[in-house]
Amino acid sequence: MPAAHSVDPTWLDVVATQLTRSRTAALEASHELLAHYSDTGDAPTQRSVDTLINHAAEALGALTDSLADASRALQEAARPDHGA
Amino acid sequence: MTATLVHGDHVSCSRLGGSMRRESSRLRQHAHSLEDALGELAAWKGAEAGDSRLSIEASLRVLRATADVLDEAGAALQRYATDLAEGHELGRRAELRVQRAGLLLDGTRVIEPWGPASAIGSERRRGLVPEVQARVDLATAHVGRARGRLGREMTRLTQALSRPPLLAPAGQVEPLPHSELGRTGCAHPARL
Repeated sequence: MPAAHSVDPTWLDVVATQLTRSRTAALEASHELLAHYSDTGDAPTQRSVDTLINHAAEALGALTDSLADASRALQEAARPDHGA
Repeated sequence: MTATLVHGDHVSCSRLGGSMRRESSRLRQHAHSLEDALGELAAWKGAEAGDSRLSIEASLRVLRATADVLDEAGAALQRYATDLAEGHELGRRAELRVQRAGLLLDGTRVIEPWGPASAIGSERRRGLVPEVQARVDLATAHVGRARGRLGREMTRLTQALSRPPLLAPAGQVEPLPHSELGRTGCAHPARL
């Protein structure tokens, strides 16, 4: 669909690359959060911290997936034969 | 001795807090770079372009919101680590005072030792209980308040993470205002 390509496909690749980098960062952040152990010294407080960490890791995991999808879509759109 | 009255490891809390803030900073940098790159696609038109842009903008908002949560949570943990370290020191001093007064600790309660004692010695120790108990209470209350603050902050931030973000109109990827974090939170863009 060349008409939709009123932008240089190179830019689509640039954004796709940036999306991939952000995806990697989100994935690493998720792993980093889960790699640490903290001892607050109190069971209810510990649960609140652990819950936050699990939710944050989950949000980052979901973000990893959505960034990967967006990157793939742009890479596809950047192909010369796209929409042909 | 420090572990008797006040439990917990302030070093591990500080490390986790620092790690959260570092990751937050990295994620913010990536959000910034992504936003710059996205600006180059302004001329990209069509349904596919609109869908892609909307999806990326939603991801950007989640990226920023998550980074904000991690920064706030990390700062809260670092504050708690400081409070916990102070609590350990207060606890250590209180326990020392208990020991020097010839008294005992039953949990957080200061008690007189059981067994035979002279009337004068027993009277002297009994007279010291309120003052020594006050020292113990100071340490436990200090840490209790800190735990309350941390627990409330973690709960608030967890709720922020669980709420779906507002979907910005296409082409308007505004930074998420700090004050709106509690209302918008972040979630998987696919759930929008």
